[in-house]
Amino acid sequence: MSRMTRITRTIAASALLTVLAGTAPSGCDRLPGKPPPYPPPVVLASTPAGFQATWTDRCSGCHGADGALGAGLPMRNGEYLRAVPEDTMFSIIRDGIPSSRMPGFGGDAIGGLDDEVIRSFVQGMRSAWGDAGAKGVSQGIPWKVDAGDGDPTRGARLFAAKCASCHPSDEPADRAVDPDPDPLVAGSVTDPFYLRLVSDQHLHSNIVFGRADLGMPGATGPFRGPDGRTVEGTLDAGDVADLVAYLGAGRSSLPSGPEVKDGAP
Amino acid sequence: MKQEGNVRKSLDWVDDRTGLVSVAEHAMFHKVPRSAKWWYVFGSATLMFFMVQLVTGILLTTIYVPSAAEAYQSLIYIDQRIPMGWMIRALHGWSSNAMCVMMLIHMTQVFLHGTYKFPRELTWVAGVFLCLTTLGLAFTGQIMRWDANAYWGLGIGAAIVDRVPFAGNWLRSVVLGGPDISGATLSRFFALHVFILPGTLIGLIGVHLILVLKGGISEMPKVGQPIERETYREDYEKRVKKTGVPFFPDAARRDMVFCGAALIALIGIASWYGPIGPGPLPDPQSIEVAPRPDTLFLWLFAVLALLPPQTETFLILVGPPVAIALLAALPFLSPTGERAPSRRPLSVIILCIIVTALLVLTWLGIGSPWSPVMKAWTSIPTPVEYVRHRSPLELQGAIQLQYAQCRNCHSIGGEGGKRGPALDDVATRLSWDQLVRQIQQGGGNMPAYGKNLSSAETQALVAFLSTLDGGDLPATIPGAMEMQPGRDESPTVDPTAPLDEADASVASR
Amino acid sequence: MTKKTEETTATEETDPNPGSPCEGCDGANKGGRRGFLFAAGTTLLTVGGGLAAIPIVGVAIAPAEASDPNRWVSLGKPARFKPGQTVLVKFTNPWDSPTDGETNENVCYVRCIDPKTFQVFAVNCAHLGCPVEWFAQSRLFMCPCHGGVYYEDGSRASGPPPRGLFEYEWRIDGDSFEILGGRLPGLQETT
Repeated sequence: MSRMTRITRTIAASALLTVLAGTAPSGCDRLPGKPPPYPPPVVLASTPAGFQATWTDRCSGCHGADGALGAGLPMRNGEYLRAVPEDTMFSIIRDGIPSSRMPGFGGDAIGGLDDEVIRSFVQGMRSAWGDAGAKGVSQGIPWKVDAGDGDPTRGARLFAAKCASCHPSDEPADRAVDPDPDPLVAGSVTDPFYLRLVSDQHLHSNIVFGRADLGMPGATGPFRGPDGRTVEGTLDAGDVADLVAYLGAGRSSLPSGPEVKDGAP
Repeated sequence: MKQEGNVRKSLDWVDDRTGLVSVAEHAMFHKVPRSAKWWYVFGSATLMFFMVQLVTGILLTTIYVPSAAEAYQSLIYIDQRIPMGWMIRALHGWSSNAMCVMMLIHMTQVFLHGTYKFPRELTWVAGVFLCLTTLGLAFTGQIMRWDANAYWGLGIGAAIVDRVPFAGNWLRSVVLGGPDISGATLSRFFALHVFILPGTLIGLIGVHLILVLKGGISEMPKVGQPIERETYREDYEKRVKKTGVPFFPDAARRDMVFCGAALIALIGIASWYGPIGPGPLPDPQSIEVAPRPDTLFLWLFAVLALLPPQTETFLILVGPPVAIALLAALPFLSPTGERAPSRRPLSVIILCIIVTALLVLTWLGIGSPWSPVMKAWTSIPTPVEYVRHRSPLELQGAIQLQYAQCRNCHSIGGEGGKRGPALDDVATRLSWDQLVRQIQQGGGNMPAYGKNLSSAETQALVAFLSTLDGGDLPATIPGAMEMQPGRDESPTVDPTAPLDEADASVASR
Repeated sequence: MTKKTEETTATEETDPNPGSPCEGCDGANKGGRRGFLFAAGTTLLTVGGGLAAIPIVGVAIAPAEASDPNRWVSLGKPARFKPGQTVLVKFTNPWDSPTDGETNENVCYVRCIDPKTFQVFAVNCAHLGCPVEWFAQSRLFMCPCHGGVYYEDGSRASGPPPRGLFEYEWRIDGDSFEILGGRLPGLQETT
């Protein structure tokens, strides 16, 4: 009897194993260890996920994790994104801006992106942030700086009236000493070292589009006067050109020794 | 019972012609000490995992193509197209790890219990060579994956061999099968992984088992029962004859339970985590890779990073042979005496040091703080706290900090490379002038940036760094921040204040 | 018990000459036919083994015995390199076999100092051969493995490498910029 039971059991167990082995191939594919498909599906940089991944990988270091509150110009600014032509944005990302700290991410750069990827990235950026931020900040002033037709003297007057309150020429208040720093006082923009590091285009873009993430208004204002009161009134293209001319003149205000041309390789 | 009689008769016939049955019977039913309990299961588990390796490995060779041009694609084919093929790869990979782990535990147990002593010296020596062969299989197995890690791992191996005085260059060519890593390299390592090393391993396992049978399974060490050459054998045989039990089924029960459980655990791990690799293609042209060895060899990776450069070549070349020689010579250095760990404090201390060192080095290898984070400069943002309330010049400095790849080696806000010191409170450590000098001239394992930064860039960078006095970070240890120099006048000295302010500013955003 | 039977059987079958432990070792010392056969066997086996060893050892170490694998490889026109720039350049290894796959492709860094002066660096770190990455912004090469860093002229800046980056020999042959490539650069090189 015991042998019969044993034989029955063996047969049952073998049958079970065979069934398991037979059905396993289909079941196996549902296990969590199954490798993901190869090659992995391409996520276009124009899609939100693809854009975010590329942004985090290559841009967030300077322009902020979320396109704002980075050390560099924020891109989460619909007005700016709409103002800069797609081709210009493409070539800036691809080749960088010489003599600035914007590196190129395409072309010959190591691990550079293909041109199509950059193009779809630009689209992705526009669809992600094209509507972000307040509208009309730039007063319709073109994004590109006009070379050298501003009036520095008029710029100086404008600066004193609308900018100097937040950008005093002296050293910024020592954060560690001042118990209640004025959050709007952002420090000097007439510092020659600062001016030598930035281009007229940088000054122009900052004045026209502002830095909403840091509390700086664009061309629409409102500005703060020398007495601390709000100054109404906007800047027009001529005003901006004058301001840029005034600031640009300050670049060479301090003599300095021989140096490497800023940023240029 | 007539049937059983027939079985016996056939067995006798086979034994008469081959002599194998009696050997097997001896192996199965020889008497082992009663005290051989759960401590003794790890050797069997190692063997069991090797069986898994053999079966899955042979299956893999039926599909894998050992050609540098096709190996990677054949792995993808196994993973994607062969039904359950990925499972075989997963089993092979994880079983390799499991085999190494079981082997190391087995070795530790033998060391701890002094089992290597008289008369089992050669069992230990065979074990040491088994250990080396197994590690060799694990290393060459990594190469079979033929991905970027395999490619650059070979480069590292080649660079080590190249350090051999005089013959280095020649040896390297023999190892690589040519002047560079190529198809011949994979073929060589395939031959090693599939023929030479497994063949050696099988032979060594045979020797190891014969020696185990010859010497008998050791008893658990007993305090006050030291090994003496004159009496041990006799005493052991007497004791085993009196109180021993047959290996099968009495002692084998535990091995079976443990091996079965380990096998099921292996299948669970394999089906959960899947096959190991392959990583990116082994394309020398895509250099944006950070080669890392498998977990098993991470400690070695750490050692190579931490050795002082002057002694490195010497230690790399002389260290391993000396270590292996010492390990193999162990039973001849202490052939007799007490076996109980409680009476061998030196051995226990040495074991503790080795285990701790390996664990710490592996842990360091996982984090690899000595490696620059190659993408930190574009992918890790400046912390928002360090962007707010900074002057335009300081913000340019923050950009410069990213742009000059400082963060590949230095962290701020806890993110970035760990090779250099964190910069969150650098202003409390270095004055303005010291910062300028450090950046311009480097030193302390930092490159000099003097030639590459203009005066304005240096000015901006130092201006930004001077704002990093630790005051923007919420105190992780309440009260600890007050201890830092230069913080007494800080408005954030009250640990609650900066938190509130930070919260408010986050909310307003 | 079984063992004992085995032993006796073996002795009876193979040893017609009880008393001497084995046939061969004893016979070697004796003269006559047995001694001659043993000597002849030993000689023939030695000669045969030696002959067989020639191709066996030869193939096993052939790669190391191969003649100098380095050849001049063109990287294109010299004009493609702009002064002041360091670029990653691909080339095909001149030492190849049909099954090399991706590994037959190779890369190096070309630093153009001026149109007539170049430096060509291997990507392999001088420490343990990991691929160094060029950062044009800080003008440094960094190694992802153990943190070796090099300046733009290839000299060691920091980290464990015992020397600067390996350099390839280069020449300008007419309108072609060429490097002497083929073997994996290593510490035991002259350059």
